[in-house]
Amino acid sequence: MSGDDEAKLLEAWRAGEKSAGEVLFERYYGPMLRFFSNKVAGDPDDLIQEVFMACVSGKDRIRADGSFRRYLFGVAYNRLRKHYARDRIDGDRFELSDKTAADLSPGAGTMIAKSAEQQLLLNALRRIPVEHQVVLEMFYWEGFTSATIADVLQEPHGTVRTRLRRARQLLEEALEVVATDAALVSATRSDLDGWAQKIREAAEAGGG
Amino acid sequence: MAENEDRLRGVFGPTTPDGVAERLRKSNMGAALFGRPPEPVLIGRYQLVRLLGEGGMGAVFEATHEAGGPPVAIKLVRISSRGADARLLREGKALRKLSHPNLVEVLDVGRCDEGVYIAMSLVRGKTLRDWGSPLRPPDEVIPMIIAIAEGLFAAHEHGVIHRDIKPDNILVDQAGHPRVIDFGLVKAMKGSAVEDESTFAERLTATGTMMGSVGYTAPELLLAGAVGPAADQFSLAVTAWELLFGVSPFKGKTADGVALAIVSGRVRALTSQSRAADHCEAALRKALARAPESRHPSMRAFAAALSGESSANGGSWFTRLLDRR
Repeated sequence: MSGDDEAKLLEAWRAGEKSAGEVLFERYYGPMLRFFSNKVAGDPDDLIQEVFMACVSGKDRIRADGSFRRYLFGVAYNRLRKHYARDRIDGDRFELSDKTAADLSPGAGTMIAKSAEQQLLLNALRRIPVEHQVVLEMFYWEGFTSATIADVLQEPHGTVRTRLRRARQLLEEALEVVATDAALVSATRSDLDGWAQKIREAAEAGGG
Repeated sequence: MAENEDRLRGVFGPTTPDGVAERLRKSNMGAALFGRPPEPVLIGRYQLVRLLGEGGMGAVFEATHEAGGPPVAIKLVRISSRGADARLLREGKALRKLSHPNLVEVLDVGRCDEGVYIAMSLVRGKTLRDWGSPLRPPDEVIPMIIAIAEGLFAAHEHGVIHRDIKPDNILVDQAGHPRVIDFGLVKAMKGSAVEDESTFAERLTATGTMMGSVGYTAPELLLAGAVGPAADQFSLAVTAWELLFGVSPFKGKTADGVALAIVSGRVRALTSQSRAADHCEAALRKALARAPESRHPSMRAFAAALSGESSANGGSWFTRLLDRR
C-alpha cells in the first residue's frame, strides 16, 4: 500500500468511513504496540487508542510526499512525551534527552521477548535515554532512514544522525551492564545444587 | 555493534508479539474505536472477554463459555519444560474433584496452541495481600486465616498439596470470603520429583519474584526434602504472620538471607507490643517450626490453635466455622 493510498484512507476515515480506519488500524496496531510496550509500564492500550483517535480527529493534512506511517509515529512520539510529562512537576521543561524508560516507567516493560538474548536487548534499550531509544527503534524496527526519523521527530537531520551514532554507543554500554547482571542470575540459577548445599551447611554450622 | 545490530533488527522487527493477550487487546480496541462487537478470541470453547492479569507463568482472562453461563476465569499457562503440559492436565483433572467454599473451583482443563488453560470460577475481589494493607485487626485476620486453613485441610484430605501458598495466591471475594487459587501449578510445572531443584528455580524465576516466593517456602521444600501438607501450613503461617505483624517472620535482605533464616528455623522475635494474643503467636511459631513433624498435625489443628482465645469465649470463630460444615 502506498503512502498516498494511506493518506487517502486517513482522509476517508476522518470523513466518517470506518472501514478505511479499520484498514489503518489493522496495519498499524502492531507497530504502535511495539512502540509503546518497551517504554511504559503496564497496559499501553490507552496510549495506543489515544494515538489513533488523535489521527482521526486531527486536522493536519499529510503532505503529498509524506506518509501516514510517519505521521502516526510523530503523533505517537508526542503522546509518549505527554504521558511522561503528565505527572511531573517540571512537566513544561521536561526533556527526554537524559531520561530513560527505566527511570520514567519503573518496572518491567510489557514486551516479552522470544529469547533471553532478545530480553537483554530490550532491557538495555530501556536503560538509554528515551530519545536515543526511539531513534534506534525507528531505524531498526520500522526501517526509517535518518531523514525520515528527523521528519517524524521534527528535528534537524544532522541532529538525528548524531543521535543515532550516540545511541548505538549507549546501547553497547547498556548491553554490557545488563549482560553482566544476567550472567550473575544465570550463574546462580545453574548452580542451585551449590546454593542449596551452601544454605544447608550454613544452617548446620549455626547449629540451627 | 554489527552483531547487536542484527539482534536489534531481529527483536520483534517487523513482527509484533502475537500472543493471545495481544490479540484480545487488539480485538477490544478495534471494537472501542469503531463501535462494533470485538472479533472473537477463543481458547478452547471459551471466548475471552478481557485480560485480568499477566505474570511469569502466564495470563489470566475473564471469559465466557460458548454454551453460555456465568463468566469464568481462564488461566493460560505457558509451558516451558517438556512434559509439563501433561502433568498440568493431570493435576487439573485432580483439582476438578475439589469443592470447598474457600477454594476456587476448577471447572475445566485443556490444551491450546499457546499452552494449557485452566478454567475456574471467576472471583471478583482482591488478593489477600491487598486486603491486608493497611494492617487489619487480629479479629479480622484470624477468622480469615482459619477459613483458608479449612479450605486447605479439605484439599489435603483429597491428597492435594498447594506448595505455593502466599497472599498473592489467595483472593478475597466481595463478600469478604477467602478463596485459594493456583493449586497444583507448582508441582505440575516442577516435574514429578521435588528433588529437581533446577525446576524449582525455574518456578521462582519464572514468577519474577524470587525473593517473595522464597519467604513463604517451607524449609523442606527449599532443601528438596519430602513435602507434605505441613509445607502448606508453614506458608500459611508466614502469610498470617505478615497480616498480623506487618513483617515477615524471617529476616533477610536477600533471597539467600531469607532462605538461611528459614532453614535455620530463626523466627523473628516480636516486640512487647505484639498485636496478637499469646496463643496466636504460639500457634504461629509452632506452624513455623523447621521440622515438619514439629508443626501442628493438620491444618485443622493449626486453625484450632489459632482460635484458642475464642475457645475461652465459647469457641466463637472456630465453633461457628465447624458448625457451618
